[in-house]
Amino acid sequence: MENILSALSKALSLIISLDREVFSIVLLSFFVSLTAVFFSSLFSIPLSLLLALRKFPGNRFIVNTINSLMAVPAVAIGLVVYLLISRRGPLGVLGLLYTPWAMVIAQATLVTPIITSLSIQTLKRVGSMVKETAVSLGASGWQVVTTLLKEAKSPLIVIFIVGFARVIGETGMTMMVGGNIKGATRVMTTAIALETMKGDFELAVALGIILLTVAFVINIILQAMQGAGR
Amino acid sequence: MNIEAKKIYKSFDGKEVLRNIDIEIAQGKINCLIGPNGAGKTTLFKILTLLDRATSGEVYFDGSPSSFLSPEEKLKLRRRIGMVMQNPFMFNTSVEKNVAYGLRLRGKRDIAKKVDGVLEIVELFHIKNQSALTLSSGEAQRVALARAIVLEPEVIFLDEPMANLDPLSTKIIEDLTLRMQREYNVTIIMATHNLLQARRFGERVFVLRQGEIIQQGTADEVFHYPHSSFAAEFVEVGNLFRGKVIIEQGTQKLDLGKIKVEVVPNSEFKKAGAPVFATLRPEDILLSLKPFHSSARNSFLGEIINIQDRGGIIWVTMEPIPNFSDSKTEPISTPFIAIITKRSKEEMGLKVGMRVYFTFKASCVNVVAAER
Repeated sequence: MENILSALSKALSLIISLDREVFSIVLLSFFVSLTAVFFSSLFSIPLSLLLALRKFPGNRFIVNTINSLMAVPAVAIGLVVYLLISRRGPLGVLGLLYTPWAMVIAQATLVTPIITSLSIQTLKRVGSMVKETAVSLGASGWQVVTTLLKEAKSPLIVIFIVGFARVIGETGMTMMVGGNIKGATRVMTTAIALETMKGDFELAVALGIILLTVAFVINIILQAMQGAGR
Repeated sequence: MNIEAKKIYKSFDGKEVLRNIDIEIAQGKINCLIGPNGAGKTTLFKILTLLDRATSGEVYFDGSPSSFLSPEEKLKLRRRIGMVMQNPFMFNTSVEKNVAYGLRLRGKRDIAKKVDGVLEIVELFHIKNQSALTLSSGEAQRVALARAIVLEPEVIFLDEPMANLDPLSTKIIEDLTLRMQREYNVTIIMATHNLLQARRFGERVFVLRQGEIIQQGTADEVFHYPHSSFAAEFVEVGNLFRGKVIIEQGTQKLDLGKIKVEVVPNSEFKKAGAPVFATLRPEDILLSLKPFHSSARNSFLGEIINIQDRGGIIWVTMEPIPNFSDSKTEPISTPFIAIITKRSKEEMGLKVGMRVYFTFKASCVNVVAAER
């Protein structure tokens, strides 16, 4: 009990004193996960628009494949990304292994099926009505797309936040490809895992508090947005 | 703009919903597409407005086929056509921005002024800043109509524009529809399952049943000489008569040819001789073997010409025996349909050829002007 309390008080002083190490870790976590969601959505949104609005042979097959990809365990994605970017892998020359970009690639790969699958469902739900209404009022192809994105704005933001929450809490995969190098690729989850194993709880608890706060804030935002959408 | 469809077929997943549709829309007139729910009205509308493609067949605009148009040419054509759907979708924004949508797409000027003007017409100016998602169905229908007419289309398709609406919204939409056609010469195509509406508005009427046009013509042709299948389809609506207003002993009556029916006096039909249509619901007619005294103003003797069992409910068709004989020509047939229960039929011993009295209140007769 004493152990926990002293770790807690030291952790709080680390947060309040804006400890450099703590905050560089937090910043890197946010940078990696936000970048991963950003690149993922650049790919997911056009793809889900295409799959939701156009009927073409193979459409259903692609959607089913994306849905199944949601179930791939993170550690398997970590392994595949590792093999691709390791020195002897096909992308080895880029020297990405154990850099923040390796973590971005792995997290983006993990979150893309989730964002795409949820976006397809959302866009399909409102898609046909929005499309018909927009077209009947004289919208061109692009105008239909922008109208649809505008109409689906809040559910899409919710989907991005869900994706962000999924990857910022990811530990094993991130450690495999990032390497948890102090000052370079150490993020909140990997730092907590390491410090706990070392028995050095102060930093772990401080980061844990921040990670939990992030999770709470995300939840509050989601609930507020879903309430507003009603 | 002239719109014509030839040999339109449409199937969804192998199920044929439209079959061999050949129609030409009367330009500058109100066209009514009537048919029961599920007849294919909305599907046909989507094809005629280029929202959907026919499985086979061709839609012609001003004589030129539309199948092989480039997307740009199609867009140009679409922008001359307006469409209001049955349950219009409202964009998640204000009423005003919903109405401005089409104008913005076209990069028009003076958008605010045009939007305000059209919102005044549909009597929704006072809620222009309200979210369009909070509207009642009548208000939403009016916004949808405003959103379409602000674009000044040459042709406008209205899919069941007055189904399930409050009386105020119905009146506003009716008035506006007539005004668009009369003052701006807009071609109107209205889908409806309401016979009276088609009778009141339709200058050209198309009857759609199970994916096929079974009759088309002027409203008079279709209503006066309906094909048998058409009649069968719409008999559920009840009794529909054509007649004229007469004044007899200071009372307003309807002369239906064989009988004269008392109605609730209506100032709209002060002039004697005005042609009208009248409807009467079959469940509002009372049958009796003997005449009886009641407050009901109309009681006639009729001969039963048909008795039909429709799942426990009996439909009795009677031909009235004329109660006056001053007409020189043979009066037209005006069969009345009444609904009774199986038990009543058995207790009264009703059979084809029997004579019965049928009685109904003047207030049950709904009168509509036949002249537009």
